[in-house]
Amino acid sequence: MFYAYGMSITLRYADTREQGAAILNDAFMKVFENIKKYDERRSFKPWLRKIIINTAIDHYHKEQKQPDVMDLESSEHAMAEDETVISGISYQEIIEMMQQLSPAYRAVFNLYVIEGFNHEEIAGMLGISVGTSKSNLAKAKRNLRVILEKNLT
Amino acid sequence: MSGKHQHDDSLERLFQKKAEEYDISYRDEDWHKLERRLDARDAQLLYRRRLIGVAAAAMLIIGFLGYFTYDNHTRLNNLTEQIHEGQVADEQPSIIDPTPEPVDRTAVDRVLPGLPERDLLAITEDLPRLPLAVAEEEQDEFADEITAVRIRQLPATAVSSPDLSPVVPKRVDIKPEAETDEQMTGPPLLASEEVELPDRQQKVSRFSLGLVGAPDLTTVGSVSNLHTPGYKFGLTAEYQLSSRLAISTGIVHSTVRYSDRSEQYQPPGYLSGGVAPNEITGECIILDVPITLKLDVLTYDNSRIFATAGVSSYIMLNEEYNFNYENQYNEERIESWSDRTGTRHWLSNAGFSVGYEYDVHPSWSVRAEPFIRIPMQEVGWANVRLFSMGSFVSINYRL
Repeated sequence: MFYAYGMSITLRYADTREQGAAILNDAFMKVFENIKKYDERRSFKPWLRKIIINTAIDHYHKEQKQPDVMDLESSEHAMAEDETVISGISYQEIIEMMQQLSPAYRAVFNLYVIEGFNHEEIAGMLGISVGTSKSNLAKAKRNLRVILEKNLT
Repeated sequence: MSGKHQHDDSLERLFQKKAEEYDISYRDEDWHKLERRLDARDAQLLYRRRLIGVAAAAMLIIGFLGYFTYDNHTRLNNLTEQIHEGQVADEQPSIIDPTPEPVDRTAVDRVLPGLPERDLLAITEDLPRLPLAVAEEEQDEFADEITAVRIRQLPATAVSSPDLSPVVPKRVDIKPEAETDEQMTGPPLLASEEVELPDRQQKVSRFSLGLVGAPDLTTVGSVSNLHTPGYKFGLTAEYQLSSRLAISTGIVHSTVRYSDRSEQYQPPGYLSGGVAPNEITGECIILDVPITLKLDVLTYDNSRIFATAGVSSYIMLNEEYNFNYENQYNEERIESWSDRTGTRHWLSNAGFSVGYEYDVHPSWSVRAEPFIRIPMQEVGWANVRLFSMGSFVSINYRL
């Protein structure tokens, strides 16, 4: 029941599907170990989501590599205003594009754009400065535009 | 989390929207790969725990052996020194007069003028030998006594001489009185003499064999959920490291029976139709191979109270499980499972006991020994942690 939901989160942080499954397994282990701390009066999904995101960040810290200083060639073309074209992109394609980012850029992009954290919170979670968080987000978006454009052409 | 941002950027809107449109199907392969990795990690953890357990047991055994070896070595050295001192004292001609003092010729010439030196020496040497064990004070007393006797026997003119060295003109045999004999320490303990030990202590062997049997109560969960008793019987071999410490091993055939809720069991794979049974009853035939240290805490003439501590390895000869379900309408349910698994679980359980041993004969003894077995790892097909208790009754033969 929660497998697909959990994998939809971990795949965005992982390099491969195998790694996503490993992160999800660790997250469920934490759920079982801490199930007594769960407040039944609240919804389960947000609690599960928080554990999965924290587990994904733990994996990021374990496998943290040097930040990718080689950015993709910046696109000089603005993204197409016609979202009809890009809305046809599937979820799987989105995931594959995100997995082409470096772990540092990918983590910031996920936490800011998808999860909704602000830069101060992201800086605390990843152990970076606010400026680095903003910089990494900008670089992630730039790289995604390049990847997206290559996929569309 | 401060809340969703306003995504003015179309890229952000795209990813935000698509992230919620996930369509991920379950894949068995994901979990098979993960299962293999988890099993490998568990095996590594188990290996490390076993290594620590074996190292701790080895250090404990080495520590015990080292201590008792040192203790025996010290005693042996003391005995050797005593024997050596005894031998040295035996070789000496006289305790009272170990070195012949030079005789004062002035006094001798006054009494026996012209007495040859060798005759004088013969007289002075002709003194009773005293046993080795005579204390120095007693030796001095004897010397004084002999001197006093000699003085009494000397002519009056000789007594006035300040030199009381032994110049007795005739032999004086001074033999200790009978009472004095008894007061003296016993006969010298020479290395050449044999010491007769009581019959029981003769022919003492360090090896012994035992035949053991015991009822067995086993559980995998709480002690309050004990099932039908099983039983144990087997053979043990024991080696006496010192007068109080022994090490033993053996093979004990055990039939254990236990029952508990299904949560205590973790069999591989899934049971019927995804429905877990409410209760599982197990009966397993196990070969228990213990390694135990036994310490005699209190010793009496013919008996002793002892305590043991050790580890056991379990070899699962046969496992049988019966599953009970609340829902009897599940037609896919599996009601029983059995197999001669033959799995080996080294150093899987720790064992402790206290007991009483009575010597019915110098070579035979009987023991009563309540025990407990505590799990250190899971065993068997169902991966259960077995707690056992019972009381061994054994008969032992000293080789």
